[in-house]
Amino acid sequence: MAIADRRHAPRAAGRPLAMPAVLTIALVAIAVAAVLPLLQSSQATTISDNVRQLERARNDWQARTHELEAEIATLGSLDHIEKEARERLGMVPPTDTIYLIVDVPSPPEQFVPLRFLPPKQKKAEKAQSWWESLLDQLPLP
Amino acid sequence: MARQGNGVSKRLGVLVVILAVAALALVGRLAHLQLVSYQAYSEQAQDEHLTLLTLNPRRGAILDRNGYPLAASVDAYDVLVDRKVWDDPVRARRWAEALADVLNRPTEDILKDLDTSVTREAVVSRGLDYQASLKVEALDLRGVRLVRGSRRVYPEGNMAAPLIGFVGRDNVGLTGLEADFNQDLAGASGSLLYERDGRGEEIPYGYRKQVSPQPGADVILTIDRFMQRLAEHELDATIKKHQASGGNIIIMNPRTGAILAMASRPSFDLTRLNLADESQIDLYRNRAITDLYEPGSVFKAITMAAALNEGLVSPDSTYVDEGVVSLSGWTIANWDYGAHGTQTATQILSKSLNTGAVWLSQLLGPDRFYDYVYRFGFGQPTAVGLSGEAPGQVRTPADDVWTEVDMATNSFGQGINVTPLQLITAISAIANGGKLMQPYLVQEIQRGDQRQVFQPVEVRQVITTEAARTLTQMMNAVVDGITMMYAISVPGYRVAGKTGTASISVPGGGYKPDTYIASFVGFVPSEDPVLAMLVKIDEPKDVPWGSAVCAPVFARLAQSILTYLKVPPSPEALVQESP
Repeated sequence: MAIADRRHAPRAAGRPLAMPAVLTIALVAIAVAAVLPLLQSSQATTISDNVRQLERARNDWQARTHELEAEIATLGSLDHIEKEARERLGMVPPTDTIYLIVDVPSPPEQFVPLRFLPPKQKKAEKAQSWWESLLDQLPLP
Repeated sequence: MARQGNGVSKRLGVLVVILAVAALALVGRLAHLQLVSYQAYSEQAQDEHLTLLTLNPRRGAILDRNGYPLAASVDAYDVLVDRKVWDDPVRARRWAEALADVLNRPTEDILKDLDTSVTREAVVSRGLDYQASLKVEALDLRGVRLVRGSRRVYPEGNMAAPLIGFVGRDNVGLTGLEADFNQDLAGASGSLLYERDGRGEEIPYGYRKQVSPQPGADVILTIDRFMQRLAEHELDATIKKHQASGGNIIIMNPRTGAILAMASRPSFDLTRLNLADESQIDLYRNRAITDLYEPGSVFKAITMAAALNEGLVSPDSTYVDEGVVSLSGWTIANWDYGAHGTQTATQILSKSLNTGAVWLSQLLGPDRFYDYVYRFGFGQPTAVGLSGEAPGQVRTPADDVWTEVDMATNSFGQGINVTPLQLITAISAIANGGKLMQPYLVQEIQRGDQRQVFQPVEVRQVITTEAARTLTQMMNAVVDGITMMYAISVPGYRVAGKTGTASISVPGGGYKPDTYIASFVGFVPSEDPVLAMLVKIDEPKDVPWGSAVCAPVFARLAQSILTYLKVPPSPEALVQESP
């Protein structure tokens, strides 16, 4: 009777789990604990790699930007603008000179030492006329 | 049995002792490694695993006052090869051949660089541009590394070369503004410390510490590229026309002291530098601030300013010009060796009479004369902010060798040495109502969002506004007197100026025979000046006169610049010019 009573008695609430279940849970826990750092490491490595790739891309863009800035500056340089104006647009520098007649006397001639003045051109000797040549040939005093 | 047992325990005891000693030795060695030699081994281990790279900053730009770059930086790359990775000769040759095509260098030269390098990494190319660096990267050669730096480019070509200066291979400024403002332009280097694998590659999840480089600040000048270019073109053309040895043109805003253009010749080619050529060294200096010369008759304006300010003369005051002045056994004559009789103070300037200048200096006396010379800024650096600036040479009564002849010759600009910058600064004071301004070249330094702005600095009031105005009118008369002869008028504007034709002193005393420095200094519009300009031509061969050589240059430049600055013509000048 007593045996039959124990068999049919309700199961105790705090009864420990069976050993296989404990082992399974422990194994899962260990596996998770082992995989988690691996996943973290993998993720960190991927992010780190991405960061470096992005840094490299940024450096490339910066280099390209600096090159383009220099190109813009060269294209905007005064020499280049003048060259384009002359060669492509056919422009020429302004050459118009406006002369104004001013009703004032000219200033007195400035005295300059002769050594700094350009040599004066000798007046070309006037060609003799035929009669002057004839007179020269005559034995006149 | 007992004997056998004793023997075993004895041998065991010996073994234990030996093991104990060995264990102690091991512990001792461990302690030595961990405690005593820790630092050395730690560093050795770090060297094996860690790589430290210097990250070069981008050098700041030098810009003109409107923001156009005169010197800028683009990224440039040095190519480094790890000699340890390239230790196999056959493989090294194959890789060097691949690299040679991109670097445009013979393979043998690259291999020679590897052989001669004393460091593990050999530099096989410097200053590679961005596009070429991509080609090197595409080769994907082991042991090849690109180090990013910067290289100077000059969008405006050779403009203002002595002023801007240049940098060395290490990107440190060597001359000019590049050297004087190197601290601002250079920026601060950064560093990258990372853990590497056996191939020298960075370990992705390894130790990494980066300090980013700080880019250099941009230096914004007061120089205007349009005016600078005009000045340089005119200077080159004038030197060529008169077969001169050199010259300077400085354009200044007299109200602020801002230098708008500073051209010097002879100069060097900034875009084709050859630092190995020692004959070029003489060309690197900025002659506008380093070279001294005797200014000649333009200095009469300073003497006149002093006399006017002291109330000793007015424009109509007269003296009798006898053609010569005798002092202490020396005879001082006029430039034309003429005696002009009774002359006004204005005619001293318009006819540029040496005797008149001597008369003015004698009225002033040495103390007052040299006080004004000093107050106008001669004999001291202008503090423009450039290194190598000469203070000039002024012999005063405080010097033992000074005589009254010194003051007499100084009054018309001989026997006194000044820099071109000192002279234009002093004349600008006359244009600025008697107020001497400190000349300056840098108006702003921009470091990211931070701006350091330089304000004009007033040095002192040298002469009264009234004296300055009177002198301006007298200098108008000078220009009027020579306008018809040399066509130096600037239509629509009144010009105040003074010519100079100075003898050139030689070391040891005396002057070069038949060799002169021609100059013209002036400002325009004279009633409200926006620019003051000095045109100085050294040793013109055909004609020496400042009025003939330099004044027309002044007129052409002033006309173009006033149009560029949109300065309206003065109604009075237009009325005078109307037919």
